[in-house]
Parts: sequence; C-alpha cells; structure tokens
Amino acid sequence: MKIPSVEKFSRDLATETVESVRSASVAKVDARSNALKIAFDDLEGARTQAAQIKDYVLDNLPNLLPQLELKCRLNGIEVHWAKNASSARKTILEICKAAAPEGGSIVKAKSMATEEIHLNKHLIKNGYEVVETDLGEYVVQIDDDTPSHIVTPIIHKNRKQVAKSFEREGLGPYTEVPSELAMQARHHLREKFREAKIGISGVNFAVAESGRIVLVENEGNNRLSTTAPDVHIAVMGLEKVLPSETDLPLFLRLLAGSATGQQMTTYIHMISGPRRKDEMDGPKEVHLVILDNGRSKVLNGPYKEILRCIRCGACLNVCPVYRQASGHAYNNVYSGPLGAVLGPALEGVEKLPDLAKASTLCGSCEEVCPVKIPIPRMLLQLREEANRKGLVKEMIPWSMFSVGSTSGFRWRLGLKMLPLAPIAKHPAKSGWEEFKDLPTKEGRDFRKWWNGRS
Amino acid sequence: MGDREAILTNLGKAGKKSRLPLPPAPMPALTYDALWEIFATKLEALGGRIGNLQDLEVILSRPHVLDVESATRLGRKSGGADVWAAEVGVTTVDLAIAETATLMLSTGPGRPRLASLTPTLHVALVPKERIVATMSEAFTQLTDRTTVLITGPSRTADIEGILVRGVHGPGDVLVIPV
Amino acid sequence: MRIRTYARYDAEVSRSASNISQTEPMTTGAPKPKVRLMLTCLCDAFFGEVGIATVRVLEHAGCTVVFDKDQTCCGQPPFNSGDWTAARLAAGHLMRTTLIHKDTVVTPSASCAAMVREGYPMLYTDMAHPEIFELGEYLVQHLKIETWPITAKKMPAKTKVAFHSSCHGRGIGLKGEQRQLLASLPWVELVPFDQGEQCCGFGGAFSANHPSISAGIGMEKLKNILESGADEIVGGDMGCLMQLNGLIKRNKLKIKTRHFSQLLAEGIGE
Repeated sequence: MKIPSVEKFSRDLATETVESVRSASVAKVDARSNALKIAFDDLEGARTQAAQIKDYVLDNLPNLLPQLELKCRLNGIEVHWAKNASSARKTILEICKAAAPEGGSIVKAKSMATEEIHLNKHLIKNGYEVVETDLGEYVVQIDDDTPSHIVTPIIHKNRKQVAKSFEREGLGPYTEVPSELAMQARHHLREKFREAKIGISGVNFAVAESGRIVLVENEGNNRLSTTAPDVHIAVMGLEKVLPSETDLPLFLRLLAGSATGQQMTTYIHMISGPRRKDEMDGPKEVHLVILDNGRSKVLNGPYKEILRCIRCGACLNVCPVYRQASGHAYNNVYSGPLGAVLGPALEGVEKLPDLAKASTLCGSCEEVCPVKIPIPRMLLQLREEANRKGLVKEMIPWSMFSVGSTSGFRWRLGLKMLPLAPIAKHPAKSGWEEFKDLPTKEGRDFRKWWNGRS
Repeated sequence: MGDREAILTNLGKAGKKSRLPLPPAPMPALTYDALWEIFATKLEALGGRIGNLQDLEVILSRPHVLDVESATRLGRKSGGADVWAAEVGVTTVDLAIAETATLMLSTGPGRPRLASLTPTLHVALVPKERIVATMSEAFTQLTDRTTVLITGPSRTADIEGILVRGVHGPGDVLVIPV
Repeated sequence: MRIRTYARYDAEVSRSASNISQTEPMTTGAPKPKVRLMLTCLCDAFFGEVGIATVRVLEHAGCTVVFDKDQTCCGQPPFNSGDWTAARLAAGHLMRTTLIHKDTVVTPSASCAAMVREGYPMLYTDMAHPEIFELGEYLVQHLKIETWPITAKKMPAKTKVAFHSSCHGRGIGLKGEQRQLLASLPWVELVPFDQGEQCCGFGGAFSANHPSISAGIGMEKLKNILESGADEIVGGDMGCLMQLNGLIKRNKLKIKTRHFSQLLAEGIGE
C-alpha cells in the first residue's frame, strides 16, 4: 500500500516545525475571528455578498476581461495574455529583455501566480538576478526553500533558523531578535530596490470598470517593487478581476481580517498606470499579464467555485491536517484545503490524485472562508474522480463492503465474524493500529437486546 | 491563434447572472471631531501617532523631503533631501478614513510617490474637514490617479508571528490634522 | 448538480420543525410519535450500549421506536473514499429498508445524519434532502425537551464532562442541543477546554490511511481535554469517540468516553 503523499511528508517532519506551524496557526485563527467580529455587524451576510460577487465575476469573465484590458490600455498599462505557464514566462522575459537587455536585478513582491509559473528560475537562467523582497519570501529564497503558506511563507521556520540564514548570507551579526533581523533585511534590500530596473508583483484585485491594479501588503516591499524600478510587471490569475471599485471595500476588509486579523492591511496600492508627465517618480512602464494556466478549464467544471478564492489563507490556518503536516506536504504551490482542491483542479487529478484524501472533512475550511467556497464538497468530488479514473488504490475493498451492505442477512453474518478481526491482516487495520488500539465490542449487543424485548 | 483569443474562446459565453446590489452607504452621522476621535484611537492601536504642527519643528531638523502642498502650508521649500536618504517624508493626504485609521494618498504633480514610503517617519498632514467615516465613503472620492491607502506603520509578522514595525516602509507614522 | 448549502438547509429544518410540533403535540393522550431508528454501523458492530441507550431515551421521551433488522450502513465510508458506486448501493439499501416508510428517522450520530441529508443528494442528482434527525436535535428541536426529565430514584455519581461537539454536528446545523441536554443533568458538570471546536482527527478511512496525522490531531485534542480536569469525554458521534478511545488506550491515559445518550439513559428509572 502506497503511503499518501501528505502522510508520508508529515512523518519526517521535525517536532519543532510542527510546533511552529501549530502555534502560528492557532494565533491566526483567534486573530481572524476577533478582527472580523469588529469589522462586520453581519459577517454571514458579508461573506454571502462576496461569494455572490465572485460568482458574478466567474460567469462574466468574457465581458469583464476585455473591459479590464481596454480600461488598462486607456490608463497606459500594457496588457498581455498568457494561456499557460510557458507563455507567461516567455512574455515576461521579453518585457525584461526590452527593459534591461544587459541583465541586472529584478525585485519581486510576493506573488502566488509567479510561484505557480516558476518564474524566478526562468529569469535567473536567462541572466537576471531575481530578489524576493517580502521578508518571508526572502528567507525562503536564500534557503533555497519554497513557501509553506500562501500568506506567511516561513510559518515552518523559527527565529533561530532565520538568524542562521542571515548570518550565513552576511546580512549582519548573529541575532535572534525579530526586529533586528527585519532591520538587517531592510538595509540589505534597500540597495536592491534602488538598483533594480524591473519590479514584478502579483495582483490581488483588478478593477474592470477603472482599469486599476490593486495590491495589498503590510511591509512596503510591494510598493517599493512597483514604484522604484522603471518597469513594473504585474501577473494576475484571470479570476482576480472585480467589476467595480465600489466592490473593493468589502473584499479589502474580508481579506485583511481573514488573512492576518487586521481591520485593514497596511498598504493598499491602487495603480492607475505608469508615471504621468507631471510626476517625478513611479515606473515608466506598467505591464499586466493575464494568466489562464488551467483556469478557464476549471471554470467549466465541477470545481469552479475554487476560483472565488482571494488567497487569504484562513482555510490553511484552521485546518487540523495542515497544522500537523505543514504546507510543504502538499507538494504543490498551493497548500492546505485550498491547495488540495486548486492543485488538482489546475493541474489535473492525474498529477495529484491523493491530495484530496488529506482531509478529515471537518468542514472548518468552509466555515472560515470569506467567499464561502464549499471545499469539503469539492474534496469529495475529487476523491470520486480519482476513484472513478482508477488513480488511487483503495485501502478498503469497497466492492466487498457493497456485498455486505446491501443485504441484511449478509450484514448480520459479517457482524458475527467480527470477533475474528483482531487476527486478520489488512492494511486498513494496521494503519489504524499503528498509533491506536482497535475498538472492541463493549457491553451488550444491540440486536440481541432488541430481539430479547419483543 | 493568439493567447488572447485562445483564452476568450475557452471561457465561452458570459452568463446571464445578475448581482446583488451592495448595501447603500449610510448617511453621515458623526461630527468631524467625533470622527477624529475614532481615527486617533484606531491609529494609536496600530502604533501610529497623532500630533500637531509644533511637533514638526524638531522633526524637520532631520534630513527630510516635503511635497509641494505641505511645503506651501508650512512656508518652507518643497523637495529637500534625496528621497532615499531622507529620514522624514511629509505629505498632505487626500482623506482620512476614521473606521480603520486609513490615509488615502494619491499621486500627482509635486507629490513624490516615495516620500511616504522610503523614510523611517511618515508625517501626514490632513486638513481637518478631510475625514470620512468609512472606506466605502472614501471610495466615492477616488480620483483616476494611482492612489495608496495607508493604515498605520509598515509591519511584518513573518518571523514566528511576532509583530515588527518598519520593515520596508516607515515604522513611524505621525498624523497631523491641520 | 444541485447542492444546497447548510445555511439554507437550516432554515428548512426549522420550518419543518415548527410544522411537526403543531401536528404532533407532546401532550398526554395524543398519539405517540413513531420513530424509526437508524442504528449506525458502529453501534451495530461495537457499541451496542449506545443503541440501547438511544432506544430507552426515545421511549422515555414518549416515542414508539421501530428498528428495521435488515438495516446495514448509510454508505458514508465508501462515499468519503470516493467510491460512489459502492456508496449508492449502501444508500439504496438504507432507503429501501428505512427511509422509504416516511416515518421520522432518528440516529445517534450527526455524521450519519449528515451523510443522508447532504451526501445522498450528491449521489442522486434529482434528490431532495431526506429527512433524518440526530438524536439531540430531535429531542430538543422537535419534541421541545429543554430539560431532561429524570425519573431515576438514585442519582448517578457526579462526573466532570468534557463535551466534544463533532464537526458533522456543526455541519448539519446543530446548535448545542446535546450539550444543553447534558447541562440539565444535575450530576454532570460540563468543563470547558481549549480549542473546543477542533476536529478529533478521525475522518473515517482517513484515520487508517493518514494514521500519523490522524493521531497527531487526536492527541492535540486529548491534551487540551486532559488539561481541563475532566473525568470523561462525552460526545454525540461514536466515530470521534472510537478515535479518541483508541488513542486513550494506546497511551494509557486516565479518561473515558461515553455517548451522551448513555448519560441521559442513566436518568431514567426502571
């Protein structure tokens, strides 16, 4: 029996890592509920409204995307379309080559879309120095690691590990004080912001009506990456469009509360195009890359609602499996309950067939989701699809179960054989028994008791 | 077929789904003073400060950069230090939003984008009557310029979830109603 | 596929609840409500006492209980594992033996109730949500029992209870009915514990194919409960309690588990 990937990964995880992930997740769940309680009188109504707006967007992309394209162009933003990862990489490299043919530094703000298309490797291979500037992403980069959470990339690391990495990279004297570590990163990355000709970011929201790109962050590295260099390239999944600017306050508040337990994220950067003639700074070119990479396929299938996602990470924080296994266990850019659906939805169940099984189906992901994505329902549907296509070997022979479960006689016969179970050999039994004792029959038998009454 | 056409073909036809109207914006119900009180409480909770013009005397002895509007208001010369070297950036903002202690700042002539970002201290001058209750209300006054909403000092909690201020942007935000 | 959300389902349940209480008032002389028991496979195989307690509780609440001997399993195990063909076979059998009678069906498991209510409409696209009630939900919402009527002459020994509300209970919109009934027992002291809403880590086949994660989640739960100083863990789903009990025995922890119906049954005189 093949051990499922998430289980396999979690077995080798250091206790220290599990504790880092667990304590940070618990704190974030508490912060989330406190913040949203203050922000909304009717949180339920706000979540319903947000889900409904997202559904409207998903149903009207053929109108909204061209509208966004037109309005962006009127604002001086160049719009590019990329049907898949390689097309997106090619487009971005072309923009970079035109802006900085001799290579040089590119500063990057945190972006899941660029992680998804593995952009950094491609640019580095082509002679650019790519510097991640979000504190967590920077640590991930110098450690040659990958983010284990879509909002807090180094949730799996503690301060000692960060301190060692900074010392190794020569950022300054060894210190375990988080504020001193942050200042070392600030000083080191300042020079990168000054010298970089190109800045690359993701997109949190893009407003069709105004042609405005909206970026949300707390540190300021995103603003620096998209303000200081001459060229700004923004990469967005095509589902990130919103119809109107008046939709933004709802989403900004839901995102801030759900992601980091804030009333509002520190910086909301609403970009209406490159520097104008009357301005003294800001990028001279702004490019928007609209990325499909499997999304239009998802849109027309059973996992459509996963595209409502605004990447807040609340489902990761609350998920008991994520807390035990960490984000890396999901073997995918997107982890946790979101990743268990979005990963196979974008890449195909064939590539990640057992990911949907890494869930107790407790439902807490759906309960905290700001856009009410029915994640448990989709996990069940993914499990069904994997089973139907014969992609996973079932531990329990369900055809045998069907024999017993469709006849009262055979069922009762099966129950009579149950006392033999402890001597039987079966992977499901050994799985259960590894950490737990088997259940034993306790007290009276119901059927005997019932029959004895009448 | 180009990527644009390929994507739009894959997306198919737009649905007919209509959308729920957003809840109507509430009528203004608070005085300017009451709004400023809320703003101050929220800002201080975030680690920002409320001040007055006297505070600026000492502050402006440090290397600083001033946008045109603030310079005019203070009777000083605009510009100043190189924006990368300035320790203090003084800007006049478009609006203050009471419910979240947010500043709305748009770009434009005489308004360097980096002045509110590269220094360690951002001083925001806000005309007293330029305060609204909610973000929804503020959004009705958005211009077509690139705009940033600033809520408190720059922060990160990437290392063990511990809050650190001033990681890339200003760790200190001083708001002065004028 | 037509899927209704839990929230909308809630509204319908409360509507139908008010209808039932109007047509079947719980007054003496009125016909006794007839309740069809869905035993659940776990109670059938291992936890007979819970089935017995459930019948005694329902009868004490004034119901006539019927049990279909050919009943097997609701089909949740294969459903959750992705084998919906096997799940449909089991579901079809439950429908033909039990649901077909149009009586009120009650089960001592929120998980099995969730399977029938929310899972069956995923298996059969043209199906409305079948009516089936979790025991505590039925007692409080339908029979309007707020305080458990105690007839036992001797009061059971005092016990400190850590109440585990199951995830499927939240999923079908339970609002603390089981806890409310437990709180009305004078010998029970409910003790709060940290992370009360957290999952136990069972998840059906998950507990066998992701054993270390499952045990990790369960031990976290037990750690929080043990810190509360409880004598026992009481819940409404034998799946959760079987999981926790397996860990308790393996790690020789000093705490026991019981289904809430067993505590209610203690209050019934002979």
